[in-house]
Amino acid sequence: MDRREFLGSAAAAGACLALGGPGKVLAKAGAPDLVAVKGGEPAALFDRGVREFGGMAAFVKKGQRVLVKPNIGWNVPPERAANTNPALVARIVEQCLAAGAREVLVFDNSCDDGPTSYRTSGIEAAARAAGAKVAPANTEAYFHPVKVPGRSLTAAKVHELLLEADVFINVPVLKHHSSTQLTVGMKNLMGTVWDRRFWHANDLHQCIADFAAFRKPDLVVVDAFRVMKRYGPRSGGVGDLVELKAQLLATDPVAADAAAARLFGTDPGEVPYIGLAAKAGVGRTDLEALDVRRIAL
Amino acid sequence: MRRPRLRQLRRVRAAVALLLLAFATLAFLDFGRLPGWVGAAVARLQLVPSLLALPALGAALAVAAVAALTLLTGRVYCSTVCPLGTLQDLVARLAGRGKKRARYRYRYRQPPVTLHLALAAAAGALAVAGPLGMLELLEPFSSFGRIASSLLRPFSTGLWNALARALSRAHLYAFAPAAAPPVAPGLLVVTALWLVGLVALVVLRGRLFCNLLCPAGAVLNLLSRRTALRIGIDEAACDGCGLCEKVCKAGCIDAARHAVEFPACVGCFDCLAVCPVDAVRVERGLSRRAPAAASGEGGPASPDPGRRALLRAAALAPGVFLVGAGAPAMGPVFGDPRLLPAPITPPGSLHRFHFTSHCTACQLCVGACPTQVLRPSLFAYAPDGLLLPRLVYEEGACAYDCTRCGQVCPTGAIQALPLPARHLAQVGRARFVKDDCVVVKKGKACGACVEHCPTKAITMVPYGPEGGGLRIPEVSEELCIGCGSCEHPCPTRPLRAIYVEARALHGTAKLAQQAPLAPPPASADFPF
Repeated sequence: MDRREFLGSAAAAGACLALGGPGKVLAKAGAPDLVAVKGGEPAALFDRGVREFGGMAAFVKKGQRVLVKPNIGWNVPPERAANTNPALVARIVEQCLAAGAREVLVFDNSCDDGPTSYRTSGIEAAARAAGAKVAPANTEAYFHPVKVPGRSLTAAKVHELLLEADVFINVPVLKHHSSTQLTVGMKNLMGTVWDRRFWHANDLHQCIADFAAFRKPDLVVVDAFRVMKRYGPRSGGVGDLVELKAQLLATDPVAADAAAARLFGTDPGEVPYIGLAAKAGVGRTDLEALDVRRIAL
Repeated sequence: MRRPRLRQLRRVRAAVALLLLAFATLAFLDFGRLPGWVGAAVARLQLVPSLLALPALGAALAVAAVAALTLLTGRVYCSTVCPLGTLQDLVARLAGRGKKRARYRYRYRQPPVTLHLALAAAAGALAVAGPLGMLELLEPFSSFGRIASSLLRPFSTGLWNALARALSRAHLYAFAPAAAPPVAPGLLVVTALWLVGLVALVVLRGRLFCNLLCPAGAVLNLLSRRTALRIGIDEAACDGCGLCEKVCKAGCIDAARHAVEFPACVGCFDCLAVCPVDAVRVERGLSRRAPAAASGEGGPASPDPGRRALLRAAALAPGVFLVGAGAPAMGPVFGDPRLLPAPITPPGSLHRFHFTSHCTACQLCVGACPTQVLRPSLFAYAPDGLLLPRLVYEEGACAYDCTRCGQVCPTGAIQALPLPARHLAQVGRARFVKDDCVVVKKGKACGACVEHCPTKAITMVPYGPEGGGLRIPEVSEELCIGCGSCEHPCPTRPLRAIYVEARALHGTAKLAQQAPLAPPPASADFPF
């Protein structure tokens, strides 16, 4: 039985259960690989999308420690969409806490000054208001050396909260990226390490793919509400954005990036790290073979 | 007749002084987190910085206020507003601790008025000629700033970070740690030696610094020759105990003659408090000619900053050629312009000569800089200025949406630019050394520079064999503002493949213009 057949039968089993069983069981049995939602505000898109997985309880168990890792790379306001949408981050935090999480932590090793970016992005305030703890990542003291099973990247200093997390939810924003074509989920993980210069100096694409295998997120939520189409990842203004009002949720980090590339209008094959990660077995790019749910609100 | 309210003046003075000292210290211990107005407000009251910042309105008001206060009461400024004055008082207190008679250790010495005024004039003159930073070294607020910033800030930041780290182990994230303050060994050594000298002066001779070396003291000395109120001794009431002379740290009371050389008095009111018979009193001053007024005529007037800058610039005209050519002029000496770069001055400093003729190296901007790119130097501007800060992109870039250094600068050396002007202020220009780029050297993608560039001055163009997918940066000089967002993340070592070359005269960059984007397809389908 290959994967496609397995998924087919799993979906059938899910359908059978759907006729009699409770919704939760249905969702669990038939959990999709990827959910694409569009046509609403970021929080509403997430609420709808995560329902396909059976709700947040499918990812967060009572008493667990959850890391929500948005992109807070830049000292720019939310409307510039260089950072993850703060309302989306807040809703994910709320859902995690509602599902019984002991604590929800949020951080990013920003490219601009960390504390300023936390503030300007609106994420610090939104996440705190939703009940999260927003942790600093602007000094090396928070990062600890680990081994990475990679080809170019074999070691990195990783933020302690990624190492401590029971559940890891990666919440990138989909953007153009002048050096890697595109930044989505796997590229967003660069905000969990201290020394990014090494990546740039030693085959950036391979390093991104290498690190994708280090700690796979339990869920990737791609914010594609406003999408920066050019001059990413920082851009100069709202003139570089288009409003797609979309969101992708996936358990497969490679599939999430591949689907995001398509959504952006780029062939995933043109973004080297996506292919490299797929080759290393981190995830799949053959979206046609996956259980993809497409939902319009 | 007892005058208990006058005896309390000393306490009021001490309270005000400690409060202002606390604010000044706080401003200098900042690491880019305090609101900009704190530093600005603390510094605005300071005489020499405000003189330099003339004719700016705030500075003019501050100068007028200090002058009015001095004309009314003499140099109370020196015992309240000046943080270095209060620091000296604290040093004296610490040095006298445990010694019973320490408080009564001073004696009258003819204040060295002529030498004082001559030194202040020399500091002014040398500042005009510009070969050495004498004003930078003597100006009291800046001197205090260097002590707090370079000697104290590493410890306070370390303490803050240790606390932040300890709390974070319990997942308490009340405040974020700060990057370690930049260490400038030259400044550290100069400041430490300076402080040792000051402590020695204080222990041996009280406030001699204020009456011999301080340029603000010299200006105030001249202003306090005819004041509305002054300290005097009532000969009839005096019982000749001499305590007033013994507590006078300025050494300006000659108890034997019942004379107070008021222009040297720093307004501490210790004598008022100590006199057992209340013979030391506040008198109407204008009616009586001050004893010292006869000597020390012809001192320098307060420097006219406009003329000063002009003269200084003229004196330095030959230097313009050197610096105008910038790093390339000096670079060949070392074989590469990156080895001995000309200093980059912060946005708002207009041009190198505006900066060097206004900055007194107080280091307030160094603490206010959130990305730690403003760093103190020793000789970076030699021969035109000492200890002045410049932009170094080693650990960060000059933040695009930040104007904090201009907000806190008290001398006008860094003007507070509105954000749109800051976005175009071209302090330097990025130079790309293609041969050193990762893309060329390793044949692998990088683009760290283009990733961080806030002005779209860098574009990636195809490089290498067709279909290889490699792209390499290309810099637009017109759009680049020299913020270092490219130089900072560039991973090549030992030299960065992209670096900023200073512009001695700041330019105005162009704003990137782009055609509007096509709206997204209206289709409800997903492209997968």
